[in-house]
Amino acid sequence: MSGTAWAWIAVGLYVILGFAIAFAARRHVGVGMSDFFLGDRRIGGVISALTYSATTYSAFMLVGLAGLSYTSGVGALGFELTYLCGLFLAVFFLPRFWLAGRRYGYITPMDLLADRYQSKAVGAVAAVLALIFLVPYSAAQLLGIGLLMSGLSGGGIPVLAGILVATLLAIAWSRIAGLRSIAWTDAFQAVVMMVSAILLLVLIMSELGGLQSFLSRFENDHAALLTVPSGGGLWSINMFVGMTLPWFFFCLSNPQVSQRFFIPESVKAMRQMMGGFLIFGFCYTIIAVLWGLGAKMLVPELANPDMATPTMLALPFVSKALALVAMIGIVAAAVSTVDSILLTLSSVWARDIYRGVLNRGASEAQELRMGQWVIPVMAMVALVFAWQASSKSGLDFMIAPLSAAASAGLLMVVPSIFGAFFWRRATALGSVASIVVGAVVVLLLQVTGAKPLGWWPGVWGLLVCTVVFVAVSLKTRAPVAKANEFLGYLAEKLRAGNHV
Amino acid sequence: MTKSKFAWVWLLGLIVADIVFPWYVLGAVPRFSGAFLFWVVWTLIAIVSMFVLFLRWRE
Repeated sequence: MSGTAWAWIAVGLYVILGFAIAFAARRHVGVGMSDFFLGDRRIGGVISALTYSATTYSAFMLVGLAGLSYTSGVGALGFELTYLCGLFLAVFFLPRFWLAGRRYGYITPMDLLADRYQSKAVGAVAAVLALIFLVPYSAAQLLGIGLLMSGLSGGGIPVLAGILVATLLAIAWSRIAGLRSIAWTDAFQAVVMMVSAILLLVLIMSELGGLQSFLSRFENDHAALLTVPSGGGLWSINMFVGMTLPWFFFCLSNPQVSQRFFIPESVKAMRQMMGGFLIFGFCYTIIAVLWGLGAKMLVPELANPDMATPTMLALPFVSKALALVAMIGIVAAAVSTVDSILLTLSSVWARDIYRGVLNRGASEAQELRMGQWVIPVMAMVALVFAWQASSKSGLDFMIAPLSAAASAGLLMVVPSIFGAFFWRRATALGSVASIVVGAVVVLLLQVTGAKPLGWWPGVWGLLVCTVVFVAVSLKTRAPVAKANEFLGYLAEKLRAGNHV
Repeated sequence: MTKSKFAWVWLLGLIVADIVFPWYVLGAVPRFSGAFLFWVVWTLIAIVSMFVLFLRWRE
């Protein structure tokens, strides 16, 4: 049997198991927006941690980050671990989101902003921002799958076929039972991701003569990759900050992640979600970077670093079975991210644009139907974007910069989130102006490729966006009554719960 | 200083260390015991401090 046939069989088994889990989750589905999009806010700690992990970590890790480590060395480790430590922000924001979500019934992070600032326009503008910038991020995941399946099958499976399979799975698993089917399949996929990654790492290290041998050989052969700036000056501080800043705020700026702050069933589940994610993230990051560095030893002359993982999986010492398990682990990582994004975008579309602006008198049933309708539309847009990106080459179309660029745009909502929880004087106009101006700055810099003073679009965008947010807020009238009631309630609950 | 303010200051300190050590202290150490080890230990410190804070959360 050919490699292509085995690859399709592996994908088939993964799909069947995923569908079985998704349909099992469907038995627990109730009615309404909260049930479909948030699992009725009754998701346990372990499942919350696994779905948070699987949603956050995507094909970017074992394809993009491994490729970045391959080509640029230790800076890639710092970049990704700095992202992980950005979860420190959740120590402050997770309890606030969770408490506010329960009291006011928020479905999306934009819903929270709209209510806190007493302006549907804030929710709608933040929603449009998410719709625009999450498309390239989703596309990066789909592209990762396409490259991987194509690489593993020696080109037998076209890149577009891999992209198409992932798109269809993401649509199906987000439609079957909403957050429940996603959370359950995410949990399954997180386990697959971790187990397959560990298995292959053990094999790679064994092929390189053990960990100690790998470390000393790498220091001898590629010493330049163990410092920053390295790889020909790739990790300058400007690049590090430019790529890391959007990721540091990832847990706030990306609605598919911050929406997870609404779902734990209890404080204990919140703690488990945080702890579980941190452990998962730390292990998974180290593994992904070691994959990349290991590939540098095994196949040192690749033209496209994103092919480091697919090429390594096709080497003779990797058995066909293990390569397929690893491939499924990466496919799982990508699909679990894309379906979560699709579900979040559909809830954002329904709550913050359709019901918030277009049809304020819509019933909850209409709102839900509208949200479900947008899932395949967004999926198709991401598919087209991924397909286009697959025909390009060079740094600008590597998966890592593509993902970071998307997060740079989403970063523009961060000042509004800080203002909502920490600044009574923050206003709706300040929020809208900051998001719009910041997004325009990021898009302009992204399209022109300009980096004034060497700083990346996300850095300039956040700077401009913050200044605009503060300046406009100070010149306009804040929703004082709402701010006092909202922040007063949170202050009391946070004190009682011993939160910071 | 309140617990909340201390946590923000601690986070700021971690961010400063994230830049200062790899670029200005360990830039001439091309070994795993340089920036690689720093980022691993730095992350573990950050994770432990997060655990210290969130394990105190109560219902």
